[in-house]
Amino acid sequence: MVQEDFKDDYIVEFENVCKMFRRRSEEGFFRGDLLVYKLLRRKREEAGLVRALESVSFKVGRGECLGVLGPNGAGKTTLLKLACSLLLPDSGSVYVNGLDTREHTDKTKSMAMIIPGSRFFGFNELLSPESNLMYWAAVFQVPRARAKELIEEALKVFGLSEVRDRRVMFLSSGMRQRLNMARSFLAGRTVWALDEPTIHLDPWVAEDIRQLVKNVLVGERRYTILLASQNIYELEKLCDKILVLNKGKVVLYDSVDNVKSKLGHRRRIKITFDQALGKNHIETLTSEFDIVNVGDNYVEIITKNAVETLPKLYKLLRRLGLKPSDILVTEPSLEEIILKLLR
Amino acid sequence: MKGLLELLHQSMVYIRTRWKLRTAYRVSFLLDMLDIFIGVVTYFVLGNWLSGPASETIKIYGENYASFLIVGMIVNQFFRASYEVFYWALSSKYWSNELTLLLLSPRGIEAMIIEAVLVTYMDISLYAFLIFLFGFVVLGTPYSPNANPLLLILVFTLSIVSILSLSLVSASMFFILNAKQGLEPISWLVSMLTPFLAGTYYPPEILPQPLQQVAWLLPQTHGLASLRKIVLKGCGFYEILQSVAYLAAFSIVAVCLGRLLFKRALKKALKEGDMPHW
Repeated sequence: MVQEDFKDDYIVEFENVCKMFRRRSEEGFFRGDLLVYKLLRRKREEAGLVRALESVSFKVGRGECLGVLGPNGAGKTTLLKLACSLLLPDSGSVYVNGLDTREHTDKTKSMAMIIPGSRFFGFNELLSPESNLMYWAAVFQVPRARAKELIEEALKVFGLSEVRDRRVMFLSSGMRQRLNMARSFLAGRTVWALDEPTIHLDPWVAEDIRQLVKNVLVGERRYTILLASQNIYELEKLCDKILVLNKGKVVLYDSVDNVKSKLGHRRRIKITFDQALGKNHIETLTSEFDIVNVGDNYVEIITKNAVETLPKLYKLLRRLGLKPSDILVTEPSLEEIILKLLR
Repeated sequence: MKGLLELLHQSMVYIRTRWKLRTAYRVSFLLDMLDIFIGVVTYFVLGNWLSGPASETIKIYGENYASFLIVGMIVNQFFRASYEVFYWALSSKYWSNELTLLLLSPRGIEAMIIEAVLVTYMDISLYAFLIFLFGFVVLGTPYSPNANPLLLILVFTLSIVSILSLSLVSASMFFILNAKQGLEPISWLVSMLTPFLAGTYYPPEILPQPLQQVAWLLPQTHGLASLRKIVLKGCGFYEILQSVAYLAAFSIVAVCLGRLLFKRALKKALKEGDMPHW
């Protein structure tokens, strides 16, 4: 587990948080028609419960960035909603800036902002980014004089100055995501919950958004960030700590550096041959080593101890009559480590 | 021939798919059918009345049917917008994901309510003004010179407050009954009963006695009747006292009920994670 004692001011804290949802019934004449389902008072137990989060605990310090990783349905979005007080826990506690979200919902709500990955998120498509920001500044009660100044800053910081007068309906997905962030910037919140901010974006635009998050949000350490993503590369690049969820449970919670140093002594060995590999070669290698990838003329092995593995490998190759043309030893990526954990 | 069969098959797939979607919300489907039936009955009653005792009963409300109808249409625009306003505001904000951000704003859901009311009445006022201009100024429909503007504002306000409270009850059903798509039952009931019973197109007095009893339970009936009497006949406070008292009492009860249910609905949504739809 991560060393927590070096920080005394935690902005977001989860203590044994559990959250369950009801599964909806899909049976009978009125299937899907929840109105009648409720009027007929069918037993809720029929539908059953889904455990979205189970005993989740973690702490995020001021200016830190926590990466939340997990497959679809792991509970990432639920966790973000809880941090923004859009949901309340069934048991356990969520604290934002030391305040319990259940007791001080109104106060904790005003400290966090959620940024979803969806392209369509509450913008008036017929208005320009500037007019949309003007509207949201009024909603977030930014004083009139300050609003104009802030909007100018937001348009500049998030690279929207050139499209400030263009209708939102004509903006690209990347620009919309920038506008999403600009809106949150106006609200002036300390906690930012980013829910898959680069989803649906092409790799170039995604990288652009990552850079923006890194430079504007993470870099200045003014904000506490919860970043949910399925992209391990993104989290490795942007986050200080990482929390891996699987089926609502915490599988791993540690600093990115710790994860890599604890599990990172593993090595990936790629052996390339001049000749194509036969079925018997692969079978023998698989029985002796942890093979992660096989090609026509190469194999990739993951090992905990490269120093011990290499002589053993040479010996076996000689016995099989295989002559390697190249041997490459590399550090496995965080992605490989986490995928192994989730399996 | 093969092309024709292909087209036929394609058309059948479209029809089947549409039918499945149409009947996915079966209550909504059944209520839609009932709506058509009530519409037919409403026009049947109107037709019978116009071809029979119309000229006699219209005297309760003024000189002629044209002015009766114009006042009815203007007021009905406000009433209809009022009982739909919160449910549709909540629904549109919910499905566009704006609700999530509004909830995180300092005013929260209150911001949505303020915006919905302002925008709705801005639109409806323009519409009502145009009907007024056309009906009373261009067509020269008579209205009473003795109409008391203060009394008019009082009755209008009481009617709107009571209907807005019903709208809050209707919006609560969005989360309480999870009526997020298809028809919302409270809104449906009110919008169905108003033209039929409340006297938009004909006076409620022509309805059979049992239906009249139901009609006078609706705040719309009292609102429409009183406003017509003020504008078209120049009636004073004491002549419409009964309706004013009913509207005041209804407003108090409905405001309390609306607030209570809406609070409960929000609490439930927050607990069950129903607030943001993504």
